[in-house]
Amino acid sequence: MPTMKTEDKVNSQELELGKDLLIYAGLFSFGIVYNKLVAHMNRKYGQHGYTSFFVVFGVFSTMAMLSTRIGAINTLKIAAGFVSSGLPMVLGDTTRHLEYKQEVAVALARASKARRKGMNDVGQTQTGERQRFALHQERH
Amino acid sequence: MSDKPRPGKDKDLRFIKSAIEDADEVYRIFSSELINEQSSGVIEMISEGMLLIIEQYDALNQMLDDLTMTPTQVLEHNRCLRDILKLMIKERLSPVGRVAAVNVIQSLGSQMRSLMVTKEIRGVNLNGYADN
Repeated sequence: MPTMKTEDKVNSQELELGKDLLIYAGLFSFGIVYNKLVAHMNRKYGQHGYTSFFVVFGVFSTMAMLSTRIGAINTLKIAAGFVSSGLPMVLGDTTRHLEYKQEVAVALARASKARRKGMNDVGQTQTGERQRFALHQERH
Repeated sequence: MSDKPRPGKDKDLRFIKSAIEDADEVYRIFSSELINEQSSGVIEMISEGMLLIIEQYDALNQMLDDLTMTPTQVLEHNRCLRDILKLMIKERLSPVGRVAAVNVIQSLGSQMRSLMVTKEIRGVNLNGYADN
């Protein structure tokens, strides 16, 4: 009888290990696909500002799959830890991205203004410069 | 007879031509190497950069004919291009794009040097003509 109990226990442990390995294999496949998706997004959109959200989604997906093995309560405890440590990072990354976008907008607006100045105000600018140049030549 | 370089003379024209060559190089890099970048933000910057370079061409060619014309506008274009490049290198450029950005920066620096000489010859500072 004890031999049968031990055998059942071993079988049960093997089953649990099999389920764990299945989850890990699923997560590994998810990681490969997700990596390709993030690489594509980075290539296509450059500074898209969603990097921190990609991380959040990756962590969320991992925990969702692991919750079937570790239970809802444990998952919630770990999720609370991730929210505590990740929220400042998400907010900081979003702020930095918005600041960068603002810098780009300002630089492009300045460039556009410089071009327009070259095209539209060329008469006025050159007249003023010619007058100053003539004055400069007279003085020397 | 003063040895001071004069507008429209050899040194002046040589440095304007050098600035045109640098503009040509920047335009070539924009239109052949950086144009393959896929990111929409980078494409917007490249478009603005190419338009600025076209304006520079125009202004520099006018400077060859018009001795009273100063490089103030071209310097402003150069400054705007540098600002755009500063932001572009923060983008996720491809390896080819990163090398191209370095080459653009090098050409812009060389153009800046030429424009400074022209500016001195034509007796102008960024706020107007020098009085001394």
